[in-house]
Amino acid sequence: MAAGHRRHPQDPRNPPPPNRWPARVYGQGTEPDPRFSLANERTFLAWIRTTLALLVAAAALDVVTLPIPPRLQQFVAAGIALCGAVTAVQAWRGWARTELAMRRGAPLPSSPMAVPLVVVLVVLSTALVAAAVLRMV
Amino acid sequence: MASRLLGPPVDRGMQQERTLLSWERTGLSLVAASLAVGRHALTGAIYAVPCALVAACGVWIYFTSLRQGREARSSPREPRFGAILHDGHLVALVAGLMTLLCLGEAYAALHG
Repeated sequence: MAAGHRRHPQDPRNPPPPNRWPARVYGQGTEPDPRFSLANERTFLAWIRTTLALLVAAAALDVVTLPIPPRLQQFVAAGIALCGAVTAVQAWRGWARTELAMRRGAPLPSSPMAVPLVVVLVVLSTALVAAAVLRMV
Repeated sequence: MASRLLGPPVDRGMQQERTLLSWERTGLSLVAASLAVGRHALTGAIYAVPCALVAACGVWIYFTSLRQGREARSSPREPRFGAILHDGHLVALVAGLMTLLCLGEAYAALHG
């Protein structure tokens, strides 16, 4: 088993309250400084608000009439909404992985979905702008 | 001894207050997003359930954050775990509902 995935035993001097879920996070390591857990909580909330922004952007794009082919507009709106879904999943995964790393005293994990999300959003936005410019020319 | 002289341990970085304010913003945003997507609920009952759940979740989060903030101000102390989190249930609920809402919006954009 890789060292990074080694299970750390629970500190008997600092037992967790029972029934904390998920057990794969709270069943390992020791209770971190609450300030770090709060910072992790705020990072999760920032991801969720990013999801909300993407969702509202997709809803707006679905409603307004733009000078571009309607099918393209539908695809871009659906793509942005799907990016929102991926962001929500990343919010959950990031929170759990960071909480686990803090409990085990391991290095904090990075966000593997951040760069692909940015790339997809840039491509979608560029397609939208390019279609509008080509229609106007 | 030192802690007795200094009084109860307080959150000098205002971490709990910042986190509670962040929850309040998110609660209000959840309500706003459910209203934005709620137009689909008029055309299909399948959208009404997640929209209502997200709105209810947002209202609960907002008022719980307000209550926790009042309690924290009346008796300042270090939080034990999170601002309103006890474990991962609320995190999973909010992330799951948002995933559902986004997938619903994507489907509606393509087929609506």
